[in-house]
Amino acid sequence: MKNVKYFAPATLSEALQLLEEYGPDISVLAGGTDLVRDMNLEFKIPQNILWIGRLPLEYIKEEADLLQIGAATRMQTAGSSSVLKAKAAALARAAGKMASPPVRSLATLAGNLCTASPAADPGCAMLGLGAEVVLSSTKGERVVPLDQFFIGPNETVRRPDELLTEIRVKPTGEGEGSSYLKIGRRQAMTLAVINATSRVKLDGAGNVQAVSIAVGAAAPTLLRIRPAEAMLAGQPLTEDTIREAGEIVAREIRPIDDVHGTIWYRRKTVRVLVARTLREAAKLNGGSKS
Amino acid sequence: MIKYPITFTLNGQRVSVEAPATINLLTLLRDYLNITSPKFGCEQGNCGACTVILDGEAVNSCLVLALTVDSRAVTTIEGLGTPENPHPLQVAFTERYGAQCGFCTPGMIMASKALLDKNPHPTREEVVEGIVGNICRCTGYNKIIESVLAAAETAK
Repeated sequence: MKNVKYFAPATLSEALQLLEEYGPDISVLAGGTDLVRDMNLEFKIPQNILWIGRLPLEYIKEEADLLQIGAATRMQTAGSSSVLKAKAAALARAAGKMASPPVRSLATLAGNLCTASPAADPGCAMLGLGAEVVLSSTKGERVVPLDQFFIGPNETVRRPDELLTEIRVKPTGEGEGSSYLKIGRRQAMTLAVINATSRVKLDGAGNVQAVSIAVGAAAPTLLRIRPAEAMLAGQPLTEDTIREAGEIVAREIRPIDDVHGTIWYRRKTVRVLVARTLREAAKLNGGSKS
Repeated sequence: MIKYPITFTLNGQRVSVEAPATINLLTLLRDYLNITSPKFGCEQGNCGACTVILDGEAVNSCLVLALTVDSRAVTTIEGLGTPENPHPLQVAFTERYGAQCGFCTPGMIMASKALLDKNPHPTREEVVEGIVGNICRCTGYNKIIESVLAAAETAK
């Protein structure tokens, strides 16, 4: 059996020092819902383990028009946060409904991002909200927008010496809202067959001032759908423009046939799901129930 | 194989044990400490049979790395009442046929306890949401939900 070393530093600088020293030979353990599962199933036995649960990385702060969310914030904390419910509703819903209560009291937001599942629920919400992440190392820190973070299934731009320390989201303000919805094979404890997030800001005349749309389980990574966003920009949000946005999304995605759903089904449902999130984010009638 | 010392509170008692970095809390409890109520089910966090309470919250013990419970508090159903003085959930599950084969029962009761500790008077829907991560293949859940609601009623 391997001699696996375990570290549980209490300060960020110690943690970053360890990451610099061990690089790819150390695995970051946050909530454990992916890493410990992989260890149990012998998919992956880490060389060494760095547990970040003793670092002060669970917080949700609103400062200077920016929501700063600690990397180790757990799903239940995010899901029950009144700040997130009011100003990043898509994320509060995705985190609050993911998996089950025992998983939500372990799983963290940064863990969800770094696992980089193409079907991630909170990940889809954060991407659709236009979030950025802070990657820290002994050399300093860099801020990466989430749409440049994912590079493939379970692959991100995080270097082995970096730790994802914070997630930053611009809070939704006046005339603005966000929505996250998912189709799964069951109501709970299920992987997304397709999921979608929209963030919409309308001007005084009811035209789209800003919009972002993200979908999951639709390509090798979570996707921002820029062409649909570009089409909606400056337009009134009507059933016609919403339908057109859905059609663009259905064309842009690159889904696969797998045990969870087919390409045909994903293309059929994604337009409906995106339309529902757009309506709900814009607080239009016909928005879906939570 | 390197072993690390762990000291934590288990069912109100301070325990010290040594374990390698690769084992989970479920294995620590069952194989190192002879606490056999948490059951070895899927080892993926899908079935809930291994649910215990860690620092007041229900967790899948199979997903918790054993070393991370150092200086924390773990409660299993062994710490939840005695044959003479059972917990209201234990009474309700017994009286209302909330258990059949019993395999899911310790996890089911620990998930329910975590729910009732936070929300002493849940609605039926909130009970369902609270045990959504615990699979039972016998009772069809109705008897379990009724048991949890009855336990909440007694505690009033």
